[in-house]
Amino acid sequence: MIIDIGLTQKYPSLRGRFARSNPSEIFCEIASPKSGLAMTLVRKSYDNLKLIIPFLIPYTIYLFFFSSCRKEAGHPSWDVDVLAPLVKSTLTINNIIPDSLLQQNTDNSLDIVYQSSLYSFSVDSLFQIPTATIDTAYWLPFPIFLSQLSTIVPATTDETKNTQGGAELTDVILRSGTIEIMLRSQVKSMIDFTYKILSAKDPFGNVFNKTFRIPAATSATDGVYTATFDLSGYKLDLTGLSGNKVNTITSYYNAIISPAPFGDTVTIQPYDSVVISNKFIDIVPQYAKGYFGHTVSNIGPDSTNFSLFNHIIDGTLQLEDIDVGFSIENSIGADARVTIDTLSSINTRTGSTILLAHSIIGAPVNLNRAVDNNGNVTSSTYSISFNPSNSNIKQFVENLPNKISYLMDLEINPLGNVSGSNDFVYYDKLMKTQLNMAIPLSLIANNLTLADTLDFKMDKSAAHVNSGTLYLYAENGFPFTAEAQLYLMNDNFTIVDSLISAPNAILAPQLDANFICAGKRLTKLAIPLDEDKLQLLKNIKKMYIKMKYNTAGQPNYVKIYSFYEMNVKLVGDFNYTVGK
Amino acid sequence: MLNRILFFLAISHLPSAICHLHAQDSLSVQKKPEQTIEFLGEGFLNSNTITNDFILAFYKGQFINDVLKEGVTEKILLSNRLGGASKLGFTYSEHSLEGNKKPVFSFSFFDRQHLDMKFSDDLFNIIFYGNKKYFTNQSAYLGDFQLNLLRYQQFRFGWNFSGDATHGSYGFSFSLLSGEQNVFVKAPTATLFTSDDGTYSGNYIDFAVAMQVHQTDTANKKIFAQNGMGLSADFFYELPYTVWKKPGTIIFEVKDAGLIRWNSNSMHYSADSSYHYDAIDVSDLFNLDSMASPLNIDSVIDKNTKFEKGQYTTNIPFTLDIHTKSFYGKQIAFEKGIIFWFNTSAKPYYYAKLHFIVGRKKYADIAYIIGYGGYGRFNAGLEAKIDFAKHYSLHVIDNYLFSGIAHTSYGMGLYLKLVRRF
Repeated sequence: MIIDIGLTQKYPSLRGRFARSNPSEIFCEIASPKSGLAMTLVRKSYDNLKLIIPFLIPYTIYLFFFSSCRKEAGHPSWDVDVLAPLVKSTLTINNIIPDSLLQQNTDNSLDIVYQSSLYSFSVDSLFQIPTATIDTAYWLPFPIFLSQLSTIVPATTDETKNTQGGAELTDVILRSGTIEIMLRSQVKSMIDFTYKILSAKDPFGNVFNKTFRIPAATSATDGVYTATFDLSGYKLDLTGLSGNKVNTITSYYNAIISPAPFGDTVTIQPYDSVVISNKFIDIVPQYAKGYFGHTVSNIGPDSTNFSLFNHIIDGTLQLEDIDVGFSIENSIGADARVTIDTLSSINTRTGSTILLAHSIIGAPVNLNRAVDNNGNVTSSTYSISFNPSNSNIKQFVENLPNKISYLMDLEINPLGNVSGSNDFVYYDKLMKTQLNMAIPLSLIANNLTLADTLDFKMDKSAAHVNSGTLYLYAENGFPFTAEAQLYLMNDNFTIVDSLISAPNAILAPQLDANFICAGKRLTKLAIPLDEDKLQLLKNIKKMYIKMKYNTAGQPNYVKIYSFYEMNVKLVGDFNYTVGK
Repeated sequence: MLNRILFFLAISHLPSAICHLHAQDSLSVQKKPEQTIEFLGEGFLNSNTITNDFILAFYKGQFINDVLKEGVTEKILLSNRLGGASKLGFTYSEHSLEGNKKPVFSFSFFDRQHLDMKFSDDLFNIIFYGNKKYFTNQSAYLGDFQLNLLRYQQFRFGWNFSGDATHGSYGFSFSLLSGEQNVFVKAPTATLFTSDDGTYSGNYIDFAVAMQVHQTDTANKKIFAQNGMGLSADFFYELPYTVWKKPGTIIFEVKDAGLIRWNSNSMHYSADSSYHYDAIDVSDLFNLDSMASPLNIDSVIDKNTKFEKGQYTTNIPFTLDIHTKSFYGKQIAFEKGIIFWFNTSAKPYYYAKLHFIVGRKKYADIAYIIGYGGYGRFNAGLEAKIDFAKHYSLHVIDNYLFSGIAHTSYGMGLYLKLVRRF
């Protein structure tokens, strides 16, 4: 009798067995055939040894699994009270106003320099490129028998003139656009169609020249061929075959019976036709030349967004000085006359509108044409400055507008075709109006409130915080008091709770006789986080931050200098579960 | 691995001899049996500070509440110990024929584990209470820390020589050790200072540490993995004496004096540095992704950290046990002794046993034990050696029998050995 003791299942390379060679003798063998090693115990008394087997089994189990049972237990956990600084930062004026908008003066005072475009011209407002050159049908009223290679549409040169309002164009270079050609045939044979736009040449001087094969028609369906070709970079000569026309596209086409396996002749039935049509799509000129006509356009009333004060939601701002440059730059090779009828500062939050009062309002401004020196365009610019002494620009800006509204008249070529049809325009060189603001940061802020919405996601490690308090240490070196509040928003952007308990004001430091900050002032704000608030923090995805500023030393203006800064440090004092 | 075990099992199959089991792992021989096989399982975990409830909660992965923590802090000292060991295996002995003076040969296989830890009260408080409660504006002294986790398998070959009225018995053995795992951490100096003085710059944490870490190959951690090899030796000498007409013996015994050489995949890390931390610096407070680094240590002084791989040697824990056993008649004996622990944090362990011996054919020895030292404090327990069948004996020791009564008790363990004689 041989008993396999089961080691082979876990260790296939082993052989283990108890065997009884005769009634009074047994042996135990554990062997590894692979390594050639073996252990054999021989015992004459089978009855004695068999009693050990019950102990061997639990012993073996214990031996193999005792050390692994700990791994299956959970991780222990406990609460600790942690006090540790978490994050710190130094806030400068650049954290409030982007440095791209700041200009530092020699005395380290700062100006806000802000540009806003009011109105930009487009080529479409001058003229439009023709949309079609051919749209014709060719047919015979009686049957005719044609052999292969016979002409079915004779060679035709066609001039198509498009009226462009008052514009008379002679040359156009296309920046982008395509031509779509569609051919429809009722002839029951394939037709080879040749189409050329004689006035269109690619950048290498090759005429647009294409040959298409129109499928044969059947008794049920026409033969149709459609193709689209990119015209980017093509130069159009719009002076026709004679060279003295305008707005004229010259094309050429003809058609023959294709060599095809349908026999020697093709019968053309009465009224079988070949229809040819094409159109230009999304044509954008890179350059155009000619006479743009005498046009008068009313621009507006319209408005443009003004983002400088976008984050201000409340309060007032008084500026000591301001200078706003208004400029009109004409890069078009045509004379222009601009009349600004109205220019308004609109604050949609308060509903307040301030009309600019200045001598330019209602007065026409003549703009000379730009000069083209082989692609180098010299613009003509008209500039004027709005300042507190010649306008109400201070009230205009202190209205904290988020929109600038305008109403203008634009007249092109007010004196007619004085250039001899040499008006020109480039795609990226047009006419634009711009406001150039320089606002010295010398101001009085009264409850000036800035707000913004931030994305928020609690860090995974913070999920084990049970409760605690965050302390915000702020060493304020700016000449203003800042009241900070953080609001928690739910998925519907509704504020559900706030974080900072009162008092929540970061106090301003003392000012010296020149209203410059004399050092920094430390304020410690507490942000208590109980279990409910922490649960909210774990769930929200948005946080609304609101800062209310009041300048120190009022009613005097205070300047903001580049060296002002605020040191901020967040210290955590919280109960945390370790090992959860 | 099993191949290696079988190898040692195979070479241990030596000619039969009348056996006498090796010293403390054996029972007294009563009837000169020819062979014995014994299964041994023993383990203990003890501390002079960490209570049993705390250890059990930690082991079971439970929440360690304030009651458990206070049970520790009530008795915590400047320097605290936690240690334990387990030993699991079997011994096969072959005895010589009756009257033959040939030595008793035995072969044993044991799976051995050691845990040894020494730590300060501040370290315990920092870990389990945090840095705020006790250490705001104070230094926490985390040094004098040592941790040694050791596991190896032992293949022991022993020979015992019986003495007579004038010559003591003695025995020795040597063992081949297969090192499985070791983690050794030693931090003689470490301080943590938490500052919160209410000013902006007064919030910071300073940490200074000098430490060494040795760890065996973490990629080879399966059961009976071999990451090192070693040797150890045991020795005992038992000398009979008579004092005041009372016979007795004095026994000197050294166990597990040896070392393990770990292989070249072992890792070594050392540091002797000071760190100053006062928050993670972010360039834009409204955009935490702008932090300069995940952990911005403001300044590192005397930065001297090193990481490398290579062999190293561990002197395994060993003991020197000196004890006497005096007989007062045939039924009472008094045993007392001291165990010195080497290569561990344990203190010398003093113990005494009062034996009550009954039976003739069926031998039974019941002893009451008291002890002091080692990793723990006072302990008391019972020991029993009983022949419970014709060929079986059972030896049970619980040195911490009364620890389970009090919630804030220290130490737990059990010794269990079953002997089958042939």
